[in-house]
Amino acid sequence: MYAHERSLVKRLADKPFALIGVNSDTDPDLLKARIKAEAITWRSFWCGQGGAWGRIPSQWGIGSWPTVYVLDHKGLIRFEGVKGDKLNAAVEQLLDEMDSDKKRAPGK
Amino acid sequence: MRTPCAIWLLASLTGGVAAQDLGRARYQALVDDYVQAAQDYLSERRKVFASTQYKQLRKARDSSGMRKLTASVVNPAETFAQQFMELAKAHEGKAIEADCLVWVVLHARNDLELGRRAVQGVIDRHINTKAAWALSINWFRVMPIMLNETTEVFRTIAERSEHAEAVAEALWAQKRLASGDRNLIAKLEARIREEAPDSTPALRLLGKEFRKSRLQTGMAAPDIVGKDIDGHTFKLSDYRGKVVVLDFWGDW
Repeated sequence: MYAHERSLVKRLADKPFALIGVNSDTDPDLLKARIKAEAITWRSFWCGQGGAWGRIPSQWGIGSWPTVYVLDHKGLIRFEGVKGDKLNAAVEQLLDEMDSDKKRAPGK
Repeated sequence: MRTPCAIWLLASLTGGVAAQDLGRARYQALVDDYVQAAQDYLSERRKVFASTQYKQLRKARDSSGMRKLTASVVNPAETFAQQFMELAKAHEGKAIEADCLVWVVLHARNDLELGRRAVQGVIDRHINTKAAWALSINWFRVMPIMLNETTEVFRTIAERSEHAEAVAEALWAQKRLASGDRNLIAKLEARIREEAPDSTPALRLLGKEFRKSRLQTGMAAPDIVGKDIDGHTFKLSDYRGKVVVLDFWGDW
């Protein structure tokens, strides 16, 4: 279930990359146990007992779960709703862009 | 014996600990035991889904057979619900009771009588607390328990509760239960906007607009400030300078 996320995090461990979750489970104790059992190492905002109706998903208008946004290093939304190979490709593209930006502006 | 049980037993033996502390320790011990039982239950269910028998039933589109097979793994929530209700009874009117009643509503799916007692307990004794909010925001859990009395539950919370977020969520619940009655929905939305403009339901009403105006490709992602599961505050903007996959997820 979490194999793709785990592999992404492991593969990009030494890159400027972060997987950040917004979690909608309502039972905090069970969630903690599941995080441990599934070796989920990435950090998540917890939406509280309101779960999918909590403040963060309410503000962002999240209507379906899971929903993924990919942000570049400037904090811009670059992709929405990508998964699997398309998600991998999106992340790789943004890491390449970041690398190119650095090369164009040495010393900054 | 795991630690919370040991603390509870120790507290019971020393006799000098307040009843509330004993109740809280007992509550936590029950929660911990349930978490263990729930994990075992989920593991057994996964085994059923992976079994040859289940796969054959699915291939044959035998939904009745699939249901019977999955029902052979019993959800421990029902058994625990009885224990939470006993603990609630021992602490009537106290915060522990409210927590126990909410736990029952959110977890026990099959014992409707128990569920109804839990809902009624919140209405009677905890309507001004976060428990009324928890029921309201989880209106879809209350619905299969209270059936055609569900709307009345949320009407009562909206009219009588002094907990602002509970009132806002109770109005939202009524909106969701209004089954296409446009006039009623418009009235409820207006009440949310007027009476609770800073509430989560008010934000929810603006959700679609927020997506259009703030969450398009190329726009700067709005910051998120929140807490992780351990209660530590952090921000999405802490990760500026990195490529970020922001994943809205649930283990459900």
